[in-house]
Amino acid sequence: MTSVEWRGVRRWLTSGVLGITVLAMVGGCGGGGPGQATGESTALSDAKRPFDLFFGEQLGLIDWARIKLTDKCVALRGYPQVLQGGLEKPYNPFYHLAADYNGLGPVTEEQARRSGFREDRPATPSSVVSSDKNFDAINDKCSAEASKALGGAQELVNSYAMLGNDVYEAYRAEIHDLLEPHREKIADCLQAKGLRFDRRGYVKEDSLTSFGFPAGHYEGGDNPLDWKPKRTPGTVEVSPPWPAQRYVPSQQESDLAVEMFRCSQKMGVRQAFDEKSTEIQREIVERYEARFIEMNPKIEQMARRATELVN
Amino acid sequence: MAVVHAHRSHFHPRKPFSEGVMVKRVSLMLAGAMAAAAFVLTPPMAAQASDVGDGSLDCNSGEICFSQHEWHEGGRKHFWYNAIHTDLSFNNGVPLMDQASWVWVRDTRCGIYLYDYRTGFDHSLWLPTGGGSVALSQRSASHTSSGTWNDVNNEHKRCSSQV
Repeated sequence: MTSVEWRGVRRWLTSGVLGITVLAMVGGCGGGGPGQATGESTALSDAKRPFDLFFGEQLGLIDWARIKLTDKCVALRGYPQVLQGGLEKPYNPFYHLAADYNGLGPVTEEQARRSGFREDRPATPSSVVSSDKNFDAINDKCSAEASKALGGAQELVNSYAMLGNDVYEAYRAEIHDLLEPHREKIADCLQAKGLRFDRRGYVKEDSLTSFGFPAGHYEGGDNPLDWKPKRTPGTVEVSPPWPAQRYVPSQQESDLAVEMFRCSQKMGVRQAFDEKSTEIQREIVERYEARFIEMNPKIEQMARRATELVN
Repeated sequence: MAVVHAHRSHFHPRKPFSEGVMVKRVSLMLAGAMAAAAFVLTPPMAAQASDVGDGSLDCNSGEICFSQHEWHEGGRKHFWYNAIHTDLSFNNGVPLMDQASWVWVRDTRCGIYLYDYRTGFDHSLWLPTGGGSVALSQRSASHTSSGTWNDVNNEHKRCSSQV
């Protein structure tokens, strides 16, 4: 595993394009396999998560800063209400690349029982509803100014988000292929328990719709506040912040998630995934190397700028 | 309660883009650089459906806007909140579920996550706000027959997806 040549990123590291940040990041991971010739390649072999090279936290910081700067500008130009209930702190839009999300569904039996294959809704910021054409123009102008102040934030956020999405889709595709033989075994296991489903759809496409279970719902529905804007022309309204909501799976979804979790445990699917995960990540980082090399330094630089401007 | 995707066949073999999708893709490529200007100028439409966003068929600041076809053609559905797309319709009566080809995120707070119920909730497409209109046929997907996120919209969440 650790002997896998990470040629592209090694070139990238040794060329100093990313320099200290990446070395510090991968060096801090610990563990890993046998060391290699240089300090840099040892750091590489120790890197457990090549996807840490996707700077999701910094992306979130830049995105948050540009929106915060936009809101300040909009408030100064006649719409102070937009400062109510905004996003309080940055979040990593690609947390699923940063954490050990593996595309295998629930990670515990309890989670499977409680939430099926989905997740709760987190609390979210207030919504802004404009019935004022002037607001539209002001918001666009302020957004452009905020982006410019950060050095082209909108364009970089768009491009880096595309990279994050592409990397994750590539990862999902590899996992899909890797686990197909294991889905065969899980399908055997589920059928042995008496479940009836579209076996081919599940094994070949990994589609949850193959099981035909009814959808669940969120407690409180899509409008838990029952808040409705008055839409008076010339006004801009701000909703209260939205509360977190629990996802309630249908009984069939919950039962299936539990059975599938048990079968996947029995068949060793997670172990098969864990053994290959780092290798898959490395291959994908190599595949998208040019875009990482082009954008990572810009992300780092802009994140520093964002911190300066917002604090 | 509605059965998820009861109207779709269960098996979606992977296959190359259909001819229709290819035509759309080529037309998109040709249009290329004009996109940014074009989508701002939404054509006026007479029908004002009461359930569409802020009551206007324009995609205004603050809204998350879905269109049935690319370039804002066909039905529209605008939101300022989280929503499951099951049982919702565009303003022209066409079901929203699995029928969106075009998204414009103008929520002023944050981007959105788009979900397809065929896969679990560890799978989503993140679209930042202010990023302009997005043709979902141009966003690659690992799990769909078209290889893209076109016509597979089942839910969207605002801002962080983590509790």
